[in-house]
Amino acid sequence: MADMDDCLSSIEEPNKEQVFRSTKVFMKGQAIGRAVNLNILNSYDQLKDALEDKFQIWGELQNCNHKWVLLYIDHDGEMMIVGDDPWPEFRNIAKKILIYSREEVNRMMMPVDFGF
Amino acid sequence: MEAIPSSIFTLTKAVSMHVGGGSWSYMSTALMAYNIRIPDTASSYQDSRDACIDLGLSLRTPFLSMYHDNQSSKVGWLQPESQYGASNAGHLMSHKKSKGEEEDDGDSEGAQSKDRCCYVKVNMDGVPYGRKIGVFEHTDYWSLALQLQAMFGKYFGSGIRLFDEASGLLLIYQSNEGGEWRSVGDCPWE
Repeated sequence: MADMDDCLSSIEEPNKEQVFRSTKVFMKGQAIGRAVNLNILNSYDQLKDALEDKFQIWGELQNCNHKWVLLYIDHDGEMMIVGDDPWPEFRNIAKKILIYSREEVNRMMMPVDFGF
Repeated sequence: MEAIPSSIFTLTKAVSMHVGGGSWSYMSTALMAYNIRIPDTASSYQDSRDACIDLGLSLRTPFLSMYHDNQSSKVGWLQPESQYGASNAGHLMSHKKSKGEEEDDGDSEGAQSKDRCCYVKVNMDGVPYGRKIGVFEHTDYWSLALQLQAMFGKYFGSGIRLFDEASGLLLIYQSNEGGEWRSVGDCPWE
């Protein structure tokens, strides 16, 4: 028993940064999503690098060709664009990340009659 | 830190003499626009034409159901004018929730709470995703309008020209207090 106590006491509390905060990532058109640990990433650039690796779209998120649109769903269930929030805030509020093609986003646009 | 009222901005259709015919079940409220002229910066977005959509089509039912899982929250969206006065239930800025979650995180997160409070959601009719702006980064309505133009101008061919009555767009906000929607510009920037 004493050995067990010693064993347990020697286990360090996991660093908060190391706690896996699994955030699902889906690319439109792909049935299987991925998960990314936002806690080990420190910036949007690192997030984009990680997503490029996972979805094999190297270079396509970082550059500005606008082929992809990175969106996220927050706790209110609303879809927002990735990048506007300060990174630490984003880590806390992003419930799900979505990768849409530009064409897909355009299809989602709702026609609005502004009276002109 | 003293609680800062949270707000959500929405660019919505102006109900005015400019509106064409046709019925619309769009959930919106007509509010008075604050008459400030803003230079037309649409020319800076000529290269974004490929992202523009034809906004001349008939108005449709609000697209809330398309990508809002929780209708009861109705964050950022308006009630029809006939129902105006019933406050939008469930209005809670995401920053308020996250602020609560972060309370246990110690001093390291304290410095971030100020920034967190100042970021508000902005939604525009027809655009499926919202944006965030840091309200405290701006010193006046003009500055705010310019950022919104940068964010949303490409969706509206001639530029959104906020606070211009002729633009056909209104910027409204919902504060924490009472949940009523008001026209941006009615009160001093401070």
